[in-house]
Amino acid sequence: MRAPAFLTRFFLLVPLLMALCWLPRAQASSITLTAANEHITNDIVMIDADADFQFSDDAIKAINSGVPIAIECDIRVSRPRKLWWDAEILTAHHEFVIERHALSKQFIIADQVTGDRRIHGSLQLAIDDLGRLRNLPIAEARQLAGQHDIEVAMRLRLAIRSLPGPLIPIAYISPGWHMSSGWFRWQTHQ
Amino acid sequence: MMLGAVALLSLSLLGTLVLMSAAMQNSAKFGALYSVLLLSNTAGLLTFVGLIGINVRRLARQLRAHEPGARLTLRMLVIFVALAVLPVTVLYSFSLDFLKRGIDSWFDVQIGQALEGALELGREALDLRMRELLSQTEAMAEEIGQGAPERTTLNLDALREPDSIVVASAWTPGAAVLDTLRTHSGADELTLLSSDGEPLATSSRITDLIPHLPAEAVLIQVRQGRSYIGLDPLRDGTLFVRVAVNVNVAPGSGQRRVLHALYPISPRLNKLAATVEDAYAKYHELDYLRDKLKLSFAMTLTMVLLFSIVTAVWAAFYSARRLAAPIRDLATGTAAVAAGDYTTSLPVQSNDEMGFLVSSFNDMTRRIGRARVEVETQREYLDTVLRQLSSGVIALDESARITTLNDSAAQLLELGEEARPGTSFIAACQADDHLHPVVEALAPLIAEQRRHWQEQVTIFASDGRRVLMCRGSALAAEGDAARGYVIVFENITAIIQGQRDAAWSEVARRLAHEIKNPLTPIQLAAERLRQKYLKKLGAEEGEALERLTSTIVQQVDTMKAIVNTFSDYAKTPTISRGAVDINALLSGVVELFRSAHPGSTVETHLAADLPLISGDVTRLRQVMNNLIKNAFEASPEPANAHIIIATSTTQYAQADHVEIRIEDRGDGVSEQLLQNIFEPYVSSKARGTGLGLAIVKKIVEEHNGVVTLRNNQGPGAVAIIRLPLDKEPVANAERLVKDAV
Repeated sequence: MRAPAFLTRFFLLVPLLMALCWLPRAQASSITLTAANEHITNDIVMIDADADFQFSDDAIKAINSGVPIAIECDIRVSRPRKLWWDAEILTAHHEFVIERHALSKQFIIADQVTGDRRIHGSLQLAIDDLGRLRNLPIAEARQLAGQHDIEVAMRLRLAIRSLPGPLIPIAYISPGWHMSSGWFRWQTHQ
Repeated sequence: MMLGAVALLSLSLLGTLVLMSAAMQNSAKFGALYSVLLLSNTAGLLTFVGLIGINVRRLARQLRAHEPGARLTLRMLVIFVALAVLPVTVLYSFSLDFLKRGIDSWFDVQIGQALEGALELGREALDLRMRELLSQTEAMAEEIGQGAPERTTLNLDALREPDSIVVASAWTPGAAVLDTLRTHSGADELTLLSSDGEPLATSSRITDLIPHLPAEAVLIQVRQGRSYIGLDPLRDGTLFVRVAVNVNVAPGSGQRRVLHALYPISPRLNKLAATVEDAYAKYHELDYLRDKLKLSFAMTLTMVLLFSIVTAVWAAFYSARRLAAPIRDLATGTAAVAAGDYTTSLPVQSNDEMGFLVSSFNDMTRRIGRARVEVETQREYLDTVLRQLSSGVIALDESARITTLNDSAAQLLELGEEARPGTSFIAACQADDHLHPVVEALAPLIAEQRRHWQEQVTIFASDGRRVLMCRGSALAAEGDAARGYVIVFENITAIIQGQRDAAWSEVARRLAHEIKNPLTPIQLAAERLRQKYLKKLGAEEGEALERLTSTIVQQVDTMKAIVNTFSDYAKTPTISRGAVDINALLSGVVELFRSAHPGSTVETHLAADLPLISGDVTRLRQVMNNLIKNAFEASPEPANAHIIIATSTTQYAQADHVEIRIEDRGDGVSEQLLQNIFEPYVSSKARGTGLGLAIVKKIVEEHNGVVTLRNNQGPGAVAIIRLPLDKEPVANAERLVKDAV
């Protein structure tokens, strides 16, 4: 009776082995949020942040091949509590898309929320620009009026769901496409 | 329920195939459908793998337990799986190959080159226009820098004087210089920037509030003295020509400005460029995704393959189990029937040939069950009959092994424990010495396999000589060979003895009658002769006459005594029964013989609690007297004889008996004489009448007892009398004992 058991294991392993054989090699990729702070301009609470993007070779190749890559920016404002979960005050979401424009040989950083587009002559310049996040509006100042000792958390991550369909399953199981900064938190007393 | 689950999974598989077909036809749907395909396949696959695992465990357990039908199920399973998996695998390999070739065919080299060419053509088409715009912008920058009022309507003083630069002035109607330049140049936006990129003045036709400032890299290039010109896809993908050039103001002052302009491209050209850009971008994106696409399709196809295989394996399990179920039931039922369970009835689950087979099996077991009950009934009936028979019945198989043996046969032959069904009848008889005559008589007959035979055999059982009539009949045989025998044993000892006794009684009666009648005249004649002639004769002659007549009278008396003995033997018994204490009776008789033979030794071992028996004390005394007398006479020196007398209670022929043993230390009796010692006129004594032991036997049998005589292991012989005890204890024992004495 070993043959059926072997067949069962075989059926389970075949798809996994195939997927592993077809996978691109794992490459270093990361997003590191190095600094972030908030400020109020014209009664709008805005966030400035600096991030370091390390795209994997496969991701670089995808961008150069015209595949748009979306970076999600999640912002969460909450009030910490000692004996209970933090009280969430508000959340904000931004999404930046980096893509190549073949005719102009330019790389575009487009803010999907504000519609702002920034054009760069090289990918590295575009990536560097992506790391300089300025004046990201998250709320009107009155929404946070009267709030003290609040915590702001920010996270940047590559949006796999926004990738082209055939790339999604591979991106889900490939570490080269898993890019997330994790939550970067800071306290504000304003 | 299981079938429903399988149907659901099959529908899922069908849906997966439909989705995959749709994705193949429209790649735009691929992304949306792929996750659904993958998840549904994975879920279905895992479900089937779980079901197969359960089935494999069950089958392994059945194989280990050697359950009926398990090996058949395994064999059918292997065949079904092989039949299902091999074609699917072949189809899969071909499909995979076709799939890869099909996807590769989308990316023709010529198409790629055409798109590259189109893109380059677009760039070339725009390049000339861009050069013109660069020259135009540089001319405007020079104009701004030289500040020639005659050549321009712009009031460039405000631009030359840093302190007077008020950005707001560019937006004020008064600062319409840039507007004029922009209008003349046809630019959509014209902005004057400081060297570090701060906008100093701007004019824009575009409705955006904030001017579209150049990137830092552009400013760096311009600061390095190189003008910048490039295509910029602004909002909605509309192309603009971005130009940035240095504006040299106040030569020698070191202050530098940057003139930045955005020029529109004609809608027609913009549309064509956008078309080329879209096609090029899409093509290259797909080209990049080609391997991923193939991998995704291959994974989908593989999932479908695995789904098909596990479905086939499960279906193979299901089918094999369904097919093997009635066979397994039949095997189980057959094993039960073989073990003797004829009540087994199998469920008929189909009306096909297998169902017919199961029905036939059920009919068979029912009939066997009925036949078995009938056989058991017949057997019980036969056993009952055999138990009730006084004749012994022994059935033998073709190897002369005992198959049936009734109690009467065991009692008649006095068979030992070794004689039981399954053992050899001849061997069982050979084990007992007294059955050797049976072996000598019957073994040749059995060996000859005669169909019917009859033989009279005499054996010496515990109660003495026993004459058996043996009748053998061959059992149903094929051809001449017998398949066994039924042997019936009948004890005809009593019949023969009765016939012989009757004959001897008749002889004795006639002899007494014929001899006794002339004796009295002879005696009277002799006495008359002596009385008539004694006085007439002389002394000498008279003495002779007296002696002769006395001899005649004396011998006639002796003959009368003999004739009376014969007469007594021939008489019909008239027994006067009463309670008899055998110990007391023996003590009285022994005392008489001790008085007559003072030098003799008579040992008595009389049981203390010997029960009374019912009998004729006079005739029993005669028995004891005859036997003790015989014992004395059998001793070499009767005056010094050594006689041992013992009484006891014993079990004989399943009844309680009083046993009396009278043992001497004489020479014993020859074997030849021993066979007929109790028959009349048989005696070892020269002067005996030969009726003593015959009368003893007759009296004992009148008391329903048994008397035997056998030689001791040492010197002498022993006479054994067994008299049956009454079921009712005899009352008033003391009185009867006295009477007996």
